[in-house]
Amino acid sequence: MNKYSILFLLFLFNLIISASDFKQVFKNLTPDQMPLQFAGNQGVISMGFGYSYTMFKRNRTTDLMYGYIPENISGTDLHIFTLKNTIKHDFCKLRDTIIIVATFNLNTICTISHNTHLMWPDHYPDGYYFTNAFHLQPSIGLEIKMHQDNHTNISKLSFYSELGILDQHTYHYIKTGRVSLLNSINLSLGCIYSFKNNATEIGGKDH
Amino acid sequence: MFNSTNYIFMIFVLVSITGCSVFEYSPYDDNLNTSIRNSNLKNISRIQDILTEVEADSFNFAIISDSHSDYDDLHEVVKKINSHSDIKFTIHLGDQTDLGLKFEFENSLNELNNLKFPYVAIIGNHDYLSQGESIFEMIYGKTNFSFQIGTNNFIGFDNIVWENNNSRPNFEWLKNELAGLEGNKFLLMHLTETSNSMELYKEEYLSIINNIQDLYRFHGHTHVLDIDWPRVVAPMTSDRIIPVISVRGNIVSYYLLEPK
Ligand SMILES: [Zn+2]
Repeated sequence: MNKYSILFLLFLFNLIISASDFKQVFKNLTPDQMPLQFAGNQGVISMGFGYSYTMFKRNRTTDLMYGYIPENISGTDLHIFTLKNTIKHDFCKLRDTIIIVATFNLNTICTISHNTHLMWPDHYPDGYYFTNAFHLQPSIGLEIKMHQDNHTNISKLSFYSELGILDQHTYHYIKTGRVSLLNSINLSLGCIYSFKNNATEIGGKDH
Repeated sequence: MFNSTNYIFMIFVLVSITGCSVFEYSPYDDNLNTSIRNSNLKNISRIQDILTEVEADSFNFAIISDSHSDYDDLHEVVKKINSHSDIKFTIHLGDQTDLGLKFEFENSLNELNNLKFPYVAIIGNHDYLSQGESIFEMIYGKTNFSFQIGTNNFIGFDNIVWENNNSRPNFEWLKNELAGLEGNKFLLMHLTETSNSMELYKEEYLSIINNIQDLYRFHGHTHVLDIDWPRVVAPMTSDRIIPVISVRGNIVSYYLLEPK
């Protein structure tokens, strides 16, 4: 079992526990949406696929994304896998056609790079280090989507921005009070192409 | 629909507008916010300037180690060192990060840059993690280096094994540096010879330093103060005990700055 298969199993496990309805995950493995994101500690550009579902009367999405940063930008090749869990809250409507959605995200970011390890090489004693490949990044964001009854492509597209803060910054802040949390906030931008029409999702899709 | 999410919206807009937010691609990349480069070399020449003005054979220096992400303790230690104007420079014996990440180096720099007198940094095993080694080299320079102050020889030796791809420390370089040296010799390194990762190389290391006169050895890593003069293991910064080394010609001694 190499580290990549462990990574895959971890994501699968996370995917399963993050969905309320197990049947839904297995029944409908066809993704509901395709996100594309700039920055956010997920690489320069990251993309992937995701599922939307309802849990505790809230619209949620779970995305699995992959990002890459080449050596000339980051100093070493970085392969970044992100599991993005989002809770959505319809925030307000503009002119009856645009919906602004507040999003609350918890991103689990796994980075494969030089000297980051899920499983430490054999020369380390067991438990010498905890894995240094994972980080958590909570974020809040706004998503703008078109609300149109005619099934046009534009109504399947939404745009978002997120403000996130990496776990390590929060840890340093709580532990020492010597770092600025405000300066640790990072901004990301993205868009989501939904395979379903947004209009059908208003008010939550119940199962 | 005005409820609690409106506040979140307001905070969101506010923070976005103030422009505090920046794009981050990864905590593991080497896009540093600091412009500090090659600081060891620059600080060494500052030390040499300061000490030629005074007296290159009579000075004190402090040793600190393993500050990790204890930035508050590092802050206090820096303040303490600054309050003793007889301490002309400081040596950090490694592990100024937990995970070798760029912002951990930068957070440490924010504290260390407050030192009134220059400091020199040695690489630790934690500093090697992720891209830490190359970030360390960007900020501080080579991980093996040496410098002279008058007749005093300082050797910064990178003895990291496991995190450095499980490789043998560059003992040839060390032997070369020590060969034919006159005067006091100060060997600065992170791991002790009793560290588990040095197990394979302990004998080789001891055979190199064996029979070398006026050799003083300084380590970190164990987090616990241990003095078996002329060998000192500096405690972790959070202990706030600072060993100070006093050089008076060929007489070298130490004392401890302890928290009140
Ligand atoms: Zn160490």
